[in-house]
Amino acid sequence: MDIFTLSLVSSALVAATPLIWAAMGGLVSHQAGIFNFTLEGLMLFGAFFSVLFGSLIGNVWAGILLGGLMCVVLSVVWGWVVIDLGADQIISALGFILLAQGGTVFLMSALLGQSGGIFSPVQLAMINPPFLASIPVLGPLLSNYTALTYLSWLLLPLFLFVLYGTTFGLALRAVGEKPEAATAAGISVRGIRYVAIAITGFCAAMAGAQLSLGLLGMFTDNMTAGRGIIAFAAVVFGRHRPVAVFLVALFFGLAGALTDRLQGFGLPSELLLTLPYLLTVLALAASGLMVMLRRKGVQRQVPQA
Amino acid sequence: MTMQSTIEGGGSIGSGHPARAWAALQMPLIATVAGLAVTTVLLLTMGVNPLDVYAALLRGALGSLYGISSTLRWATPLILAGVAVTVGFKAGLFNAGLSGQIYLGGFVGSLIGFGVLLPAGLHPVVAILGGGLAGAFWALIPALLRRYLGASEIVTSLMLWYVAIGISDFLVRQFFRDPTSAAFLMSVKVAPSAILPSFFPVGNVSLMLFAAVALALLMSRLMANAKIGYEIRMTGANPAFAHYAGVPTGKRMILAFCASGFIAGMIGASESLGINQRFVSQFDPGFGFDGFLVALLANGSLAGCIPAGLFLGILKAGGMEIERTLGVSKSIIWILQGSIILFVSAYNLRSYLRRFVAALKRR
Repeated sequence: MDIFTLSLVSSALVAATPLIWAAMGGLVSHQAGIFNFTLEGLMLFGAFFSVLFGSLIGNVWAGILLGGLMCVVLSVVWGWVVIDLGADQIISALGFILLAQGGTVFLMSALLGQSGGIFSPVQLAMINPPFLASIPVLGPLLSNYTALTYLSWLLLPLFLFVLYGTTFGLALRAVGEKPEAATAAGISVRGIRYVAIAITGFCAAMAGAQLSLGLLGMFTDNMTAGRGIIAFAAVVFGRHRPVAVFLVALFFGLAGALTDRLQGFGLPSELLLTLPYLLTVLALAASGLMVMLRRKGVQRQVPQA
Repeated sequence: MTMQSTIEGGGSIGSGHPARAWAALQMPLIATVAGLAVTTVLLLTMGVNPLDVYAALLRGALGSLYGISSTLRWATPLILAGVAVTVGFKAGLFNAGLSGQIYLGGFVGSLIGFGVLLPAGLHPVVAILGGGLAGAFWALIPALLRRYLGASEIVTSLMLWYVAIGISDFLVRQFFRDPTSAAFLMSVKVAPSAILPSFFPVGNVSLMLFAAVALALLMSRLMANAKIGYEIRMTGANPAFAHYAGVPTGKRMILAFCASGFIAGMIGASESLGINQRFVSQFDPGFGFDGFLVALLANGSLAGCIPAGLFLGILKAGGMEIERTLGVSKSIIWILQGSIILFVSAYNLRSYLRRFVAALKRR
């Protein structure tokens, strides 16, 4: 049996889906000058609320959309804490992550009387787009994913267009790079940042929904297991440029898929599971090297407009 | 990337100036009240009387000798974790991967506990110092990456936490697993000579409590009065200035981060030798986050980590009582902790509150 088969590519695409959603969402905040470390917490909230609403309503898409909306609200609350209350972005984001870990466990117990995890009666279906299936070789490679995986691929052209082809994108980037100039040009720095944080909240919720409703069909305590932090690292490594971030997220997905694959070869799973995290450390080291060479970085504190 | 906001009021608690102590305590108190407001609203929405919950919390933590032993048991690692995070803060660094160093320290500490023959008095000391060295080594990696490549120590140390779990669990499963343990992964027991004894009449409060308090006070003196402490604080407060003043800032950063890792490693070792008396997989219930909260509440003061650690010890001990007697999930405590962390650096809350109070007075 060969390790590097076509099925490895498709499992890499599956593993990369939540990372792409979260990282692409995170880069919007970064572009607006917000160092958004909340991804891990947002993903966890998204995974939980999409299962909760999905099972209450009995419709998977209603669950995903309401879960996304819930995360937009929670994300904006964090935005209020950093933008208006002036909190340190990393400190408050860590509080947010702990709030997500505690909040999901608490709500699961208080609303559903469950602990450990909840199964979802609804799940995301696998899709086989007929126009893709007819393509030789690529056809099977591009078939049999959830809608969220296909949508995650569309994020790249969408974000490239929005960021570099619209006035909103221009305003967003101006707010991140030179808030003073943006203010002088009549752009509401505060407003743009709130919108960016809301977009991050929605995208990270999709990442969580893919984990709970797409992959497992259930929610379990702390099921994101650091994926949000890996996605954050992808944003840093890709220097919040859409193409680079997308590729880094794919690469981290490949590492995850490789981990699963190698386990089948009798290699110790405990050591293999450290692979994505080790690669993240290496990626950050490489990114640090690049940044040092270029002498540029992201600011920590919200620059006051 | 500096932890500016947390370093500002550094070391002012206990310095004898009520005004400065109040300035340092202001945000932690406001954030605690805000956190209690969040949990109160949440509990009311769920139809639970919040007063019942808070009463059960205090009863569970302080209402009996056993409760007090439980509070002190938890306060021990929490004080140490707070000191570990604060030592990093002093150099302008944030050791977010404390849990990784704790985990590896727990593994190496128990390895020395069951693998080496030493006299009873010496054995736990050597094992705890060994665990500390393992933690320091694990902290050295992010410290070097930060120093030489500018990679965020926050993310790398967090990622290395998962790696520490993988390595320790793998080695224990492969070589040191207790053959009688079926469901849980745990190592063989440590030698009787390595066990950290409990000094309390009930429960299991190890002698490490005294070491934790002593270490907090010692580090406080060291940071305030020793040359090395001054250099570390200078590096954290203004690296460029420190550099021009002739401080080897890179070395001081690495030293402070490794000291933080050393203390974290000692936590893991003392938990393994005192409480579990062996290495137990996933033994750390989240001391990394807890230590972060202790450090934030202490607001830069190392001695302040003692009361802050006791406060969090009360929350931890009381959380169990809430779950046992009221059936309310103890995760409400995490929500309280998370909310406090969320708000503790939100300095503009003060002006909001001032405006609110002014509006009330005008009525």
